[in-house]
Amino acid sequence: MQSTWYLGLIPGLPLAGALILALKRNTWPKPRLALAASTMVGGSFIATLVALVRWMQLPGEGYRALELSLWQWGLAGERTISLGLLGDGLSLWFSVVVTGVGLLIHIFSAAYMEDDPSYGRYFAELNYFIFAMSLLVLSDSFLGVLLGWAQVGLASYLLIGFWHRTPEAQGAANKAFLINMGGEAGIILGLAGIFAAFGSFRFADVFPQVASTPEAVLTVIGLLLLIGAAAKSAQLPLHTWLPDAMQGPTPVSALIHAATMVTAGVYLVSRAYPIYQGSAAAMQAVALVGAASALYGALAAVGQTDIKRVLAYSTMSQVGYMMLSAGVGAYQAALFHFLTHAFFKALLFLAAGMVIHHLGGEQDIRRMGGLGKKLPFPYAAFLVGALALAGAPPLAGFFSKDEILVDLLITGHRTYWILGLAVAALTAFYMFRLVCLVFTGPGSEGVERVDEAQEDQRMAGPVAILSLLSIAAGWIAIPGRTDLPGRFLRGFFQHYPGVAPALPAVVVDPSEAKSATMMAAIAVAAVGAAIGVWLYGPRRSPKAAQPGPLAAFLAEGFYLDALYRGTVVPLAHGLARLGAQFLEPSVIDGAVNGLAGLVRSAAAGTRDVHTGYVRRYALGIVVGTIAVLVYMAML
Amino acid sequence: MLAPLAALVVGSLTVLVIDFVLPLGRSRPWAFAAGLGAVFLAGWYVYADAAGAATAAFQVGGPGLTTVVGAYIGGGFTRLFQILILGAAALSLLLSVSWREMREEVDLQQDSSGYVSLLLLAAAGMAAMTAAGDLITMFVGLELLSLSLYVLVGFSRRDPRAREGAFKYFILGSVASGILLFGFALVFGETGSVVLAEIAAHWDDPAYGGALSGLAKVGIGLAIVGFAFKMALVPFHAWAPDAYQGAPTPVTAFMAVGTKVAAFAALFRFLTAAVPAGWLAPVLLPLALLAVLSMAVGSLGAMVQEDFKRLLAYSAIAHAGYLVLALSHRSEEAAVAGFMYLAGYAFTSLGAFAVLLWLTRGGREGGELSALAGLYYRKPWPAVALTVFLLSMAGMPPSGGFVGKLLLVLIGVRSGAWFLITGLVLTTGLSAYVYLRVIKTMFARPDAAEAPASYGEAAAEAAAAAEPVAAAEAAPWSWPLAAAVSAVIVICVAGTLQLGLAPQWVLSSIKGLFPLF
Repeated sequence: MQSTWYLGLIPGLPLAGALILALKRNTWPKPRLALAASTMVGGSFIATLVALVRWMQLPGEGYRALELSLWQWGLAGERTISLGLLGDGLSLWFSVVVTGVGLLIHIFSAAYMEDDPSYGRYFAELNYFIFAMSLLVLSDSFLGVLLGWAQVGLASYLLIGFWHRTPEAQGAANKAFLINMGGEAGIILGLAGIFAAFGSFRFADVFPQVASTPEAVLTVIGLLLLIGAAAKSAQLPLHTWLPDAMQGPTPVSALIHAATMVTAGVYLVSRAYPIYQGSAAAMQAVALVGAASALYGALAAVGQTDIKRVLAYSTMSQVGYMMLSAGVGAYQAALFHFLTHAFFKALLFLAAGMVIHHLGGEQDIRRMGGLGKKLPFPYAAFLVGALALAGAPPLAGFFSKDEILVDLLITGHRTYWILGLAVAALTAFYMFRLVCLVFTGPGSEGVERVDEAQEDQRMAGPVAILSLLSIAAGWIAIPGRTDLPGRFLRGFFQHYPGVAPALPAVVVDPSEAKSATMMAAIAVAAVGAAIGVWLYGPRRSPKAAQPGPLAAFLAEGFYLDALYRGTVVPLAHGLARLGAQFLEPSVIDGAVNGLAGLVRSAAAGTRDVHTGYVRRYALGIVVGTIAVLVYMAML
Repeated sequence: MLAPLAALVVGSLTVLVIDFVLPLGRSRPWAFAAGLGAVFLAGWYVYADAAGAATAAFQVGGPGLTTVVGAYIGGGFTRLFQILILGAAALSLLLSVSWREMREEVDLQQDSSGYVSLLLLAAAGMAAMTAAGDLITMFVGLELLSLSLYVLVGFSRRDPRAREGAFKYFILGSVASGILLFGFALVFGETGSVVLAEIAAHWDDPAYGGALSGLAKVGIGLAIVGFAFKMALVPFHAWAPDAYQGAPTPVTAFMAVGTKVAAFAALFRFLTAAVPAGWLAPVLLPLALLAVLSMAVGSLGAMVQEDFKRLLAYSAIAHAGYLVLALSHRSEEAAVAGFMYLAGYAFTSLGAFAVLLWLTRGGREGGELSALAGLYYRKPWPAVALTVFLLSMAGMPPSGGFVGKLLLVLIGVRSGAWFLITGLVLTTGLSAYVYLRVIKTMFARPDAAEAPASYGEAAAEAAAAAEPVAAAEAAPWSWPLAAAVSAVIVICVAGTLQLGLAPQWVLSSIKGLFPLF
């Protein structure tokens, strides 16, 4: 067993960074704060690469893992609880993205947040997020996943509410936190179920037992975990926090609310795949939630007028794709799409951030237009991201989306396949609507204030790297030539004997499915993009961007948020008021005060007994002795 | 096997010789050095003594057990609890180095050798009690520790509270010793032997058919009362707050831990020998009642205390009540649960007294709770350490106190002692209030009332700077004394957290001592 201490550095360095920055946030100069934060995440990224190389050097072909035990707790003869880090293909796959994209976004933020007075706090919180997220993906037990899960929620809350002086940011942060706490309740219950059913939290103990567990148990656990996954990944019906989360700084939206944290649900479902494979009902629920979210997100994105909210709904839609893919057993395709999506969605957010930066904080696309000539670099970057997202070959999104669609078809899910194609068409449509409205056509009044300063190197560099990755990342899985995802992930998804292997039933001939899907996907994307350009291109009617009744319906996300505000929120307020005005003062306060009064008088009573006279004390001894003797004699 | 005892007694005499040989005023460091040396030597003998390792914890005689003429039993059980006693003795000797009156009052300074010598004798008495193989050894050990402690409690002769505490402790303690001895005599009268192994064999005689005679019942009841007094169980606890408050703080710490360990180990052995297995539950009922009373009175009494030492005294009463859970079952696990609980309590209690000593240096002995207000903003590290100890006393994870209570509850579940478990759970809730209140006092901003509700860090710093440093805490302290106390605090924090975070380290090293686990 070789030493694996470098695994500990992956979460350890950002944690150290967060603590140091929190202490020095007001004393260190800004360049040093940014440098320290980036160095810590850079070190974490290098440690991930070291782990990756070591992992590839491990002997054997199947499932291999690096392990690092951190903490154990046990009583002799009782069950042991342990925490440790696990570097297998799946966790390193996530870790590379978390630390790599994290590093790029730290560098970008160094310039983007330059003028903010809370620069140190920003980087401390960002480092803390990297720690929490890498703990989530590297833990070797469900308990560790929960610890990371709760802490990414806290980091997300802090960063959404980073500009905590605006009520919108406070509201958005609270909303995200409350919804995710609801999801966490599901995870905690699921964990209780796991411990009750398997007697351990460790993956290595739990998964081998799955094959001999009744399906009903697996269904309950799987559905409980899905509640948490849906909340964190902004899936229906727990998605309403994500568009509001765009109140946070744009680099935060890129890192947390697009590339990494919102895919934690995909990670959880993939990690717990033996449990889901064992329960048809839980699998169907995952697929249904994913499909509904993919369609809903794409439709809602069409009606948005805020550049970041378009991207937010798009993220929801794309994560829906991943969940749908996982729900039919195509975990590998889901994880491949996670990788490419992380690159091009982070790219889109950062490019949008540059635009917003140049416009002095303007985010409404109705007040943009014609920016392509004035901001050529963000335009080029955004276009690359949009093409990748829309699925234009040979960019990254084409390959990964294609793989999901192919897997949907060959497992016989024809309805989901058609739905996936429809979402692809909508995606191309709303992305080209966005590109056209922002960068082409006549400029509107917002454009007058464009600050045409040279791009900062620290912002341009990460954007350029992400552009290259958005172009090239798909080439790691060209069918028949390269198979990097398979080399990393297949071992895990075939590891547990007795668990139905991922992708069980090949219903349709794969080669036919591939060619049909590829042609269909290219065709629908082209049509969607063409309609987008036709309606919103340079020669659009002046009122194209104004919302009609349908657009308003879409813009409000089918009024789901309003529905919640009209039903769930008043209900909760009503219950709270009932509690505050009736239960609390009369019932609970009465009980607590009564109990407290009782205790207090009893406590005072003990003091009265202690008068300080020895004879009184001796009396106590005598009485006590006689009582004991009487009892013993009667025994 | 007797080497640890010999080391302590010889050490005690050596200290007296040092005082005789060296000139006045120069013997003090040597007395402490010799005392610590004797404790460490005894500890080494306990550690190195492999004889009789393979015996059951509750065995009092029979094959495989090494004894000295049946009066002194070696083996795992003895070693386990002797280590605990010697550890407590070493830490309280370290604390005694800096006890202020040892330095300042001339007559006490000269008497430091007497102090060290008595502390070692008390430790020897406790060590003898844990190893007692017959009633005589048990009683002699008890008297050795009691007589030494009577003097140590009243060691600050000029302090009226010390005189009062020592006087009450002595008067009531003598009564209790008499009761205990009478109980032993009745047991002897019934069974015809003072050796535990022979007493245990007596009930195997078919003539008795496993039943207890009336004489034995009364004798056992009286003995339980005597032990309950030493453990400070209600209603035999009344001496404790006064004695704890009056005694020098290091002695209080030693008394709280050492007496409890010795009384627990001796009572465990006594009940094993004198009560046949089928009779354990009914005989334990009065003890369980005393225990629940102690939990309640200890927790409630701690609420109204304004003096930190008295608060810890009531806390000790409640903790003695919890300990009875480990007596409810006759097994290795029960002995180990008692050990783990006492080990957690030892670190916690010694640590709390060490912090108290640190805070009252240069001032008068004893500390009012109000003096702790805003401590965190003046002395952050002692405040954090004290928080750890208080949370451990409240039984919060991840502390030694939590693991100890958990093990006790597991033993209680096994023996079906639901009455005691209920008491433990309820009073733990009550006592959390006591400890959290102290923590809140320490962390409350000193000017919380006047300051505007602001999150500004500058305002907080200004407030902290404006807070006048209490004169009592500013008194100078030479570095060796400060180092000794801070070393004790650090050891106790580390021990408390280690027992809580990784109890399996200790548990697995204990496993070698007993054969059945």
